[in-house]
Amino acid sequence: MTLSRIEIAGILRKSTRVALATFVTLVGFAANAQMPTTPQVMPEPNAPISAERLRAHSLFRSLTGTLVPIDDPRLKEMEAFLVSGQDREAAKVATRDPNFYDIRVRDLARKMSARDESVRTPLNDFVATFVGVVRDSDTTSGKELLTGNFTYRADATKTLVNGVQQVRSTELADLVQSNNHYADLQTRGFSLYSVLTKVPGQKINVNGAATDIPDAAGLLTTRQWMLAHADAGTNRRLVEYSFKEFMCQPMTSWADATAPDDRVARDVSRTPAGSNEKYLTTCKACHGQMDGLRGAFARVDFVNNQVTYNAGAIPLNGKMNRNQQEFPAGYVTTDATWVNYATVGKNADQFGWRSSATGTGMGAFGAMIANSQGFSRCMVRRIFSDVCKREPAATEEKMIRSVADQFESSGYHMRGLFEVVALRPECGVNQ
Amino acid sequence: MKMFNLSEKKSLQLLALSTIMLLSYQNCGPGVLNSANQASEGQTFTVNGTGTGVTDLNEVVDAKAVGISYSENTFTSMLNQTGVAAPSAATRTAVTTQFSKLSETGKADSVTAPMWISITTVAGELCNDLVNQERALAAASRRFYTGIDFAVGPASISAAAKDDVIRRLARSFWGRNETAQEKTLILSSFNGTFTSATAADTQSGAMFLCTAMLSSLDAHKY
Repeated sequence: MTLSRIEIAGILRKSTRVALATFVTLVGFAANAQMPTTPQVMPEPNAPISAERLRAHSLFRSLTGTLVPIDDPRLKEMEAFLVSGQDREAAKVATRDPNFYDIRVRDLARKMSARDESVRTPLNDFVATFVGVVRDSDTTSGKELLTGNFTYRADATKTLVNGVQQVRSTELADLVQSNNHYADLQTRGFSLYSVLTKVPGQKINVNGAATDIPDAAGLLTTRQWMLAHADAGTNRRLVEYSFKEFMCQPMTSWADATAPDDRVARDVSRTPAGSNEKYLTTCKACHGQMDGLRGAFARVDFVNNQVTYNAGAIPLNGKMNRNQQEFPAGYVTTDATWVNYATVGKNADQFGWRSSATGTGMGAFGAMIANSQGFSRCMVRRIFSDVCKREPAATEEKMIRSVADQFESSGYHMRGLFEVVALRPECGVNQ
Repeated sequence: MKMFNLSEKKSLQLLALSTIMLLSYQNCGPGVLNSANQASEGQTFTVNGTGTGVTDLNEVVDAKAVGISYSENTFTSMLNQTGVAAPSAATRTAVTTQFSKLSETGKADSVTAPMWISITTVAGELCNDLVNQERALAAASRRFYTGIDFAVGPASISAAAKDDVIRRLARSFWGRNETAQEKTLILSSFNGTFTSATAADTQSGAMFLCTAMLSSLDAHKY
C-alpha cells in the first residue's frame, strides 16, 4: 500500500498528538509509588454469593467510590463481620481502603472548595486539609475543619521516585503564591491517604516571607477558599459560602427581612429603583445578615494569586467600604468585629447556635459555625448525599438530627460519620 | 502476541457496543431508567408515560438513587475490576482523551451516548491489556481465560470454556453471576461473529467478551 504525502502528513500529525497525549499521561501515571496497588482478584466461578457478600459489595462501593470483584478478599472480610452482626466493623474495612480517602472524601471536599462546586476542581490545600482531618479522625475533631490552625501537604520523603522529588514544595512559590504543590500531587497520581502530613500554621506572604496568618480558621483561611471567595468583590461571598458549604443553607434560606440592618454597608442602595420598600423587603433580608457577619473577613483579600492579611487600619475606600456614595449613612467597617443576626425565627432552629452572636475575626467566626448544630447536621447531609447518592428528603430531618447528635457525641469523628451514614437503612446501601 | 491496529480495535469496540446496547436493555441489572414496577424494588427513577416513549424522569426522593460511576472514579473502578495493575500507554492515553466526556455526577440524567462510547473506548484498551496479560500466562495461572487455548481458532473453544469466561468476568465486573438471559445474549453475539479456525480471532473474541461486559451498565452502576 502506498500513501500520498497528504495522508502521511495526516498520520504524522495524529501520531504527534497521540505521542504528546501519551507523554502527558505517562508523566501522570509513572511516578505513582504511593498509589494503592491494584489487587488481582482470582474469580471463584462456582462459589455461592451470600446476601451479606452483596451487601458488603454495595457498602464498599458506597464508601470508597469504587467497584471491586465480588470475590475480593476485602469483601469476604466485610461479609464475615456482617454475618456476625458487626456492621460497623464491616464499614471500617471499607474506610481503611485508600480509595475511601483518595476518591470519596477527596471528591466531597473538591465540591465544597469551589464556587461552581465541581468535582473536577483541581486538588488544592482545602481538599488536602479536609482529607487529612478525615484520615486523622482519631486525633482530630471535625470541628477543627473550621477552627484549626494547620494545613495538610505532602511529606517530601514520600514523594520521591528513584531519589527524584516529584512535587514542588517551595513554601512561598509553590504553596502560598500558587497551587503548584497540590497540582503536582494530582498530576503525579500520589495517594493523599499515603503522602499527606499535618503542618502547623497557615502561611501567607508577609514582605516576601512565608508567615503564619494571625487569625486562622481552618478551611476558611486556606488559599483555595480565599481564591474562590475573596478574589475581588466585597467579601460577602465568604460569608455566603461559609453558610452554604458548612451549614448547607443557601442565602435564600436564611434571609430574614426582620433582622436589623445597622451593619448594612454604604454600597447598598436604600432606594433601589427609587423604592425604599424594595430595600426593606428584599435587599435588607440578605444584606442585614451578610453584612453583619462579613466584618470577620475585613482584614483579608486575595490579590496577585495570594492571600493578604491587613493587620492595620481597614481602608475607608477598600473592598469593605467601596461605593460609599450609594448610601453615605451606611455602616463603615473599621475593624474585624461581626454580629450574627441569623438568630431568630426559623434561623434559630436551623442553625442551633451555641456560642456568642458577636465576635472578632475569622477564627471566632469559624468557631461559631463549628459549634452550631447546623454544622453537624450539614456534615451529615453532605456525607449522606455523597455516599447514598441522593439528597436526604424533608421527611428524613429527624434522622439527620439524630445522626448529627451521634456525630457530636463521638467527638466529631469524621470517618466514623461516613460509616454511620452508610449503614443507615435510609441510605439504601443494604438493598 | 497479537497487537490490534486501530481499525481492528474500532471494529471490536463497535461490536462490543452493539452488545452493550442489548445488554443494557436486557438488562444486566435494573438499568438507569427503571419502569415504575421496578421502582418498587428499591430503585429511584421512574419513567412516566403511556408506554409509547419516555416523557420525563422523576426522582423518587426517599429511595436509593441509581446512577453510575463518574469521571473521577470510573478508571480506578475499571482497574480494580480487571486487576490490570500497569495499564499500557494506549490505555492511559484513552483515559486522558476520553474521560472529559464522562459525567461529573454519575446521576442517571447525566448519562449520554458519547459518554458511553468513551467508556467503551477505554474498556476496549484496558481489555486489550488484560487479554495480552492473560495470554502470556499458563492457562492455570490465568484469572479469566483459564479454558481458552489462544493457539487455536474460536471455533475450537468449548461451550464450557466460554461459559466459564463469562462467569468469571461477570463476578469481577458486575459483582454477581450472570443471568441465563444475559449469557445467551453474549454467546449469541460471540458465536455469530467468532467462527473461524484462525488463532488470532480467539484473541479478538476474548477481547470482545471483556469489552462488552466491562462497558455494560452493571459494571458502572451504583
